[in-house]
Amino acid sequence: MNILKTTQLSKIYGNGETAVHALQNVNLTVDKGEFAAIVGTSGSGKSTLLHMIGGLDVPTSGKVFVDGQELGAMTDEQLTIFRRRNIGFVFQMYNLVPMLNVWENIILPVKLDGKLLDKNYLQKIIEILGLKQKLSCLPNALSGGQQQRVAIARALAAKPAVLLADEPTGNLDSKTSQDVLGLLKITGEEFSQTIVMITHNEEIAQLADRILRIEDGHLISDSSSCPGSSSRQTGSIYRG
Amino acid sequence: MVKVENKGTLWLITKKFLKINRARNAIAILAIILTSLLFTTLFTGTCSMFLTQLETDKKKYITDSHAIIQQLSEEEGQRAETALKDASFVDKYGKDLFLGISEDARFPYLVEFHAGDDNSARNISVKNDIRTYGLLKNIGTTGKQLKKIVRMQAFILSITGIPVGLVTGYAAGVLLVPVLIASLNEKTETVTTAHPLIFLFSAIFSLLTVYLSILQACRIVAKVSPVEALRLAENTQTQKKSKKNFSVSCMGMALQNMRSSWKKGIIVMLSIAISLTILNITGILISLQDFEDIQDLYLAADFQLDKITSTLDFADLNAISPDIHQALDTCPCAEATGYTYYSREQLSMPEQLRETYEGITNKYLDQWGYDWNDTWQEIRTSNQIPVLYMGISKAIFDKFKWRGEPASWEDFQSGQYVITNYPDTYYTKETDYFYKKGDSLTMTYQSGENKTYEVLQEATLPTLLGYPYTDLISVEVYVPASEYIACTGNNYAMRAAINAIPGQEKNVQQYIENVILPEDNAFQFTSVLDLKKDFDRYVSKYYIIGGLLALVLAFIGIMNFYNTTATSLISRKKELALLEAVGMTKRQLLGMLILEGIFYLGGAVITAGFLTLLYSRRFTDRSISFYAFLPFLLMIPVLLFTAWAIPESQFRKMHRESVVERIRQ
Repeated sequence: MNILKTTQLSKIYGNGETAVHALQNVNLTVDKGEFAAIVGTSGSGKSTLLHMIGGLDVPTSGKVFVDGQELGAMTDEQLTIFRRRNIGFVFQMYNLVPMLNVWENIILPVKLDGKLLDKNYLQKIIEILGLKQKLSCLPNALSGGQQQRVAIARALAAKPAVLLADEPTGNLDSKTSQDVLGLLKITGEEFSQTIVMITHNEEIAQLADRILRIEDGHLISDSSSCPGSSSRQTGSIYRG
Repeated sequence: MVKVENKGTLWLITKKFLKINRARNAIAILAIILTSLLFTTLFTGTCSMFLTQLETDKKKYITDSHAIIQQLSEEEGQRAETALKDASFVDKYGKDLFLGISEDARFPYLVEFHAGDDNSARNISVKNDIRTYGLLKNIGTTGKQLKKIVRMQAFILSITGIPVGLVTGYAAGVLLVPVLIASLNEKTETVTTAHPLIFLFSAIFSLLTVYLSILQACRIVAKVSPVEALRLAENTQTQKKSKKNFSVSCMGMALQNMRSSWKKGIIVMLSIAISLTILNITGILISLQDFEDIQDLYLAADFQLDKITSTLDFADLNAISPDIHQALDTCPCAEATGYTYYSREQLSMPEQLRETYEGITNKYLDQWGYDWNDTWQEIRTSNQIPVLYMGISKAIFDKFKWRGEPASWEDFQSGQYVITNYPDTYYTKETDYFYKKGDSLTMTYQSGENKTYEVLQEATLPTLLGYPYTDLISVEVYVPASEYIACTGNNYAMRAAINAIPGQEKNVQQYIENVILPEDNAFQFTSVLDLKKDFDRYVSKYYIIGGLLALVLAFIGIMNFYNTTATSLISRKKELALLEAVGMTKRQLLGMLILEGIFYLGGAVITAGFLTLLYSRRFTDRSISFYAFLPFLLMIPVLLFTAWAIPESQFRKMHRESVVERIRQ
């Protein structure tokens, strides 16, 4: 069952001779519970793709479906609400709200929705991510790795359909990167969470179940990262 | 739309925003206090002035009637009316509903100017936090919720500021009303009011102003795009660096900074410039108020004594008895005292006089109205024209406005001559005359005696010394006082005009007040000293109103300046820290900031100078004295001090954090 699907997704910045085709006819599906990595060099369009999938930006043409719902059909307001309920974000810069403490940051998306907190679930996340002692700290009192773990906890708090991670370890040293990614994978497995991560780092991408490569706005390959399995051209990627 | 329960969360975020924006809060609260202060002062002021006016009107009404029934309900009113109608002893009655309108049109200006100010005060608030608002939007805070957060902040700031504004505004209103009223009218007791509605309306208006002023902030916040917010979060430094090409001199950097916030700069400059211009206009208007102009208008001499009232019916044209005359003549500090005697006579019109009046009446009767037609027909039929026959003493003679060569007092005094007036308001052509120099004029006195004089010259006397009422068809004939008394037998003068020895005005006034006025309380006594007092009161009213207006505007301008400086420092905190890290000294940095301030305020001074110049061109016929610009000149050091003090204090505050701390942020 696919939880995320794009059809003929294109994004063009500017127009005329200066037009930049950031994405061209990208067709992509991600199944529920999958951990997919999108790999590409700088400027390949991977961030643009993530922004489209996450409903942060509007495609020039094509459609994005998350959990069966088309994002393009929603108003700005509806999209924001959809985002806080169905999409969790982890950014390179952590993007925690500086004036809220760790606990407040984590529960913010749930609270904004006016929902009751699933305390057991949250406690589990906090435990796995090792944030128990830091709940009352403000973000600027935390190290980069700790901040990113808070960001992961926040992204998971609303039990989103998809968790999108944009270079989640881009600002961390290799040891911390390993820790954070390990935690991301563990929590994903623990809660059968669909994760789409973008990175330029091949090594990091190897942690994912599946690796998609993007170059000049085109998806060029899709492979399982499990060692031994051969590269596959599955039905989940087709070039339009 | 799904309705969700998230007030608690929004409230939490609101509180946090308030907590991290202490400096902004202080500015906003001050602006809100000022707003509500102005509204409360305005309402208290106008209501109190209205009530005072009402009270004055009532008193006036009472004094004019023999009896009055007041404060009746409608039903009572009707009963009273029936009773009055039937009462045989009531000659006339009237009913009136008091609906006074305050004459005060000055306050709305203050409000208008102010409403414009608040916007800038509040826009910064969201601009500083725009990244955080963007983050909130990324993780699912809707535009509506963000707007709500801004509005809640505004509300909290308002309920902090408004009560203070209400109390201080009320106090200011109560203090201001007597000053304003005293400057309008001397003998009024002021009535102040603390009606709850004043506070209610002031609070509502202030809140409304605040909400209006945050509309733009709400729009900015609601529109922040999630992707833009991401970029802001990730690329703050690189973007800034690529945009700017650094100039290293203080001057260059100051100019660069000003260019980047030129809109705010213009608001700062304009609000201070307008304040200074108002100060200048006040100064100019006051300096143009020449007491001598006023004196010429109201007084023909330092002191005047008569029993002339606004209508002829109640006037006594024989007010100065020989005793009073005597007493005035012996006034120790008087330089010269003149008397005008008046009686109404008539004479047979010679051909020339008749022709002149034929022409004048032909031209003006329509304009004068119906009654004068009757009068003219009577005069024409009888050929007898009224004569305003006046005897004058030497001091009065000196005030004549001559047609042609002035005549000498010695010739006039001989008793063989009269002076006649000439048509100076209504004439068919400018050379019209009643009698010419050398004509003979025959008076027929009430005693039956005739006397023929030669016309010495044509001249008119200022109304303030002559006959004060209008008599359109008449001739004024002037003879020396002695001749007047001899011919009419009337030695009671109409008026006296006393000039004091310069510097002795006070003594003369005291003498008249102690010796003459107690004799008869019907005397009308006009004194140059009283007029001067009135004039000073009038001028001080200008000072108060202009000064207050300038003060409020200056406050707004300086708040704006403070705001701009604070914002520019906050937004450049990191940049300035970097500059400091690479070796720019605090002195240099502060120098740059102060220079920026001087540019703004200097711009304001120049703009004000220009606006003042434009305004003063209306008064090309008069020279404006240097003193008119004294308040303006005094403001310049104040502004220089401000240009130094505000950046200095802000800078000092910023320096509480170390360079490293500031770079890290």
